[in-house]
Amino acid sequence: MPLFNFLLASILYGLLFVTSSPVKAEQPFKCSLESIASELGEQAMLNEFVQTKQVTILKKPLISKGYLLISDDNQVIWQTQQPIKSTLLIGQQTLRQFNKNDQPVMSPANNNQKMSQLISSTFLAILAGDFEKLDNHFSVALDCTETRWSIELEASSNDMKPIITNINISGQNHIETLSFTEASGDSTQLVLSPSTDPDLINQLRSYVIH
Amino acid sequence: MSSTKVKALIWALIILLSAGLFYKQLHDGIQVETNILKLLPETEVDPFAEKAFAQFSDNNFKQIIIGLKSNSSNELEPVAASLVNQLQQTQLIERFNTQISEAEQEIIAELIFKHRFHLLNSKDRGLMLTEGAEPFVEHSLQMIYSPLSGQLLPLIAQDPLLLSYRYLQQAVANSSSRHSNTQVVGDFLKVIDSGQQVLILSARLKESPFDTRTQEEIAGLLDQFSEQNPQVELLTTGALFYAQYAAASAKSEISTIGLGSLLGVIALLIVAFRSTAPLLMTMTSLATGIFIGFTTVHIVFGSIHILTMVFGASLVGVAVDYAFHYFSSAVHHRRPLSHIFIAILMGLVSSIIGYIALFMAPFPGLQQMAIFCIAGLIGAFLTVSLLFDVFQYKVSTPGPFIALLTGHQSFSRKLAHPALFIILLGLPVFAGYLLLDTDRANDNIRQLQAAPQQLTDQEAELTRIISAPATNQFFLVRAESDEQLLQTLSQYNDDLDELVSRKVIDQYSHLAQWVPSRAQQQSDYQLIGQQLSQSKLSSLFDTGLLDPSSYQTLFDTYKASESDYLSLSDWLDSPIGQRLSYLWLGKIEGDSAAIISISNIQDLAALEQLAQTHDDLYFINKVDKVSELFSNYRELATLMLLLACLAIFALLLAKYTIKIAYHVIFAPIIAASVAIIVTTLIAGSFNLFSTLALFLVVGIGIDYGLFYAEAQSRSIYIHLAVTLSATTTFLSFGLLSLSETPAIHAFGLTMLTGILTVFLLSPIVGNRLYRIKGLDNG
Repeated sequence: MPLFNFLLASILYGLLFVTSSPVKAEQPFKCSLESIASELGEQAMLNEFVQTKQVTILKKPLISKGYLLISDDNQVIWQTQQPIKSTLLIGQQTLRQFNKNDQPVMSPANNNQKMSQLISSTFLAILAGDFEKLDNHFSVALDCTETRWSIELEASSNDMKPIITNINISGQNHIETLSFTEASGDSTQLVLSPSTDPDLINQLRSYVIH
Repeated sequence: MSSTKVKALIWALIILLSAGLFYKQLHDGIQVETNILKLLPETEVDPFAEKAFAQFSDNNFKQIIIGLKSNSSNELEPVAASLVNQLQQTQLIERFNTQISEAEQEIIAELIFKHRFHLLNSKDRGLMLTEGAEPFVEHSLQMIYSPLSGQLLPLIAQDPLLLSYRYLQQAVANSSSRHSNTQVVGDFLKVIDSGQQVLILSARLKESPFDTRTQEEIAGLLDQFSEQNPQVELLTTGALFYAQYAAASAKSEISTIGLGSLLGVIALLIVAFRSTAPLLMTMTSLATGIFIGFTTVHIVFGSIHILTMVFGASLVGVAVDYAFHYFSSAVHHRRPLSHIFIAILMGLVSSIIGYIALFMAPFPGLQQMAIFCIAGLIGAFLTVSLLFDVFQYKVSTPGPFIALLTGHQSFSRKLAHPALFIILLGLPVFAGYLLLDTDRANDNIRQLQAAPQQLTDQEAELTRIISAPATNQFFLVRAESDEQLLQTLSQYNDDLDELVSRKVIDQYSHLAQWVPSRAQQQSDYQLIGQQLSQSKLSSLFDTGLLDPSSYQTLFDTYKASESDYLSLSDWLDSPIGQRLSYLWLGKIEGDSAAIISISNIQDLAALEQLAQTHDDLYFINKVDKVSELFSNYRELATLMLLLACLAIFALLLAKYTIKIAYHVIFAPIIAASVAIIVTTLIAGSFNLFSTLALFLVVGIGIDYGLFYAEAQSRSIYIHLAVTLSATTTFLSFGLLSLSETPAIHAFGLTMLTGILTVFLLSPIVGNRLYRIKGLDNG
């Protein structure tokens, strides 16, 4: 039983939220990594997400909803609200997790940081539009229609292949969907939409101070 | 057959006997010990604690830690990987502790998973007792909805509360460093230390760190690695590196000191007697002494310590005294033995009294040195008294040399005023005052080890970086059975947690954190069973990950595993158990023993106090205990020396008048005082090893006094014997003061000043003795 992989899984947890930061773009769109990257430079602080997980052993998908906030000091607050509330606070070096009563719970052990670093760096690179950094682990393909763009990342390194096989990001003015397939065959799709609810922003920010 | 021949025959038989014994030892293998712990006395009142420490340290000594440090960011890993590879190729490494292969990780996970219905960490147990299954189910749900939970999902059906995951996670957290800047990168532990990255590699040696081949190969490999990778700074620590350094310096000292004194003796003999026969005979007596000393120590102790050999190398200086006295006397007499026999016999007896006092200390290192010297001196004495008369010697001492001695002699004569003998008595008083005032801090175990600053700095740096558990300070727990041991260990959790919260210690680690006692596992099994009801797991049913059929399987598995306890032996066999096996000491004196390792101790007294309130808990603190012991021995040795002086004085009184006896013992006592004063002024304090040197100063000083006391006529040749003897003693012990081992250095320094004083005082005392004996006509 690959229990150690659980450890990883829980860490990955924390890393993916980053992907949810959406992108704002106003200028006419040109189909190149550079122009997408520049669009991704400005991101909405708060995003609502709907996560749909297709698990090979289950007939029906696992669906969860919540919010993602990128705080001013570059920490990310990732809060699942349905079906169960849980909050993750991800900083540069720290990872804290709170249960539905906002009590801190066991944070993932610092094992397998190599893997967590790999994944966090991948998604940070995606969000920052720093696509060159992805070359180490992925082959990048770009596809555009008149209004939409889509980036397909296929794992190419031996470090990445056992974790994620491919990632797809697509959007118009901002990242609208992000989906990826794990080596196990399970796939996850996140649909993001920007939000500006000031109460939510304050509620989520309070975790930073916790 | 003449008596001379009979005596020579006896000598030959003795030599044959020792040669036979030596051959047997050679055949069985000569054991040269370099582990300084073998020199140390037992510090624990309880032999159980002593054995436990020995076992722990033997195990711990096999550990080496290497840190690679570099300013640049990316280059370290491949470099470190190549180092691992090179180390592996030596076949000297049993395993690398910082690395756990994927296969090993699976084995560990498998083991914990198998026993998941019996294992709860103390936090989870508390949580389950107060809140039941709810927080566990919630945690599982959180995990299920996390984006990358794929590999974990199939497990929910078999372990819906993720107990195996939680247990493993907590145990890993307990035994890994709490530093948030520590991470596992590839195969290494990576620490960011003030902006610099340090990769830590920890390995366990196959052989003892005192194994010469291991020492040389590993040290050589690391040197070579440093040369090839100048951009990487290597930090190393472990008994291996200390042992390698100490052994190398001891070896070079044995050769410097041994060779130095030997050459000195040869030169002196040639100058003083202008004949090769005395040279050959003196060498014979020396060789016999050292040979018998070595053989005897090896028989008595089963091995010989390298520091005994360093010390023994200086025996050269003492053992030649008898030969010198013989040949000095040979200038006058055809058969000099009868003229000097009483003097050298008394000298031998007084030296032996001194060494017996040394032997009385329950201190293996000192006992070994005492045996070496007693046996060695007897060997040299026997050679002089049994063999020397076989040949006849034509010796004459060159005129200028005699003139020099005569000059010194008559100068001393002018000084030999009774007033001097009273004024000088102020010195012992002052020395006594200094001794009472001596700083105890200097009585330290590190006195026994030549350790370059570089190594101790690296050790301090590595210990700080990885917050490693202390290796000579830990708790020892004793119980009647393994089961009881595990129960006892977890009983201390509250006390230890309290110490952690008071910041007395940073962290602690013991077996029961991994393997709870059977009783605990039994009750946890019941507790877990109560949580596995369908209703409590309903929200997991909602996800579809649990269904009636998988629930039935889960329930059946739970029922079937009732007696499936995680056993200590299974855990110890696992990859994680192998790495943490130092926590387990096995059976000692019929009882089970384990340690609780502690890191970053801030307050020793608090730990000792905890141990004192529990009978089965010991706090082991070897370094401090040894230092304390050194202090006690220093005081004991000083007392023994006083007693030895009284015993020798009593012996002298049996043969001489009180006036002569007083003068014989006067020079050594003044010399010892001067040595105390000078050493204290130069070294800042007077430690155990300097105290031991005083035994020799007194022993040799009395020899000189006896040479004069036994003189039947005023003769410059006694002064010749004393001068030759003092010069060689000087040479050998002076060389000892160059030693890098602080203990030997202190010893040498005290000897140097003591013998110099004795040498200067002897002719003065001699002149007084002549006057007292009415030989004042020269």
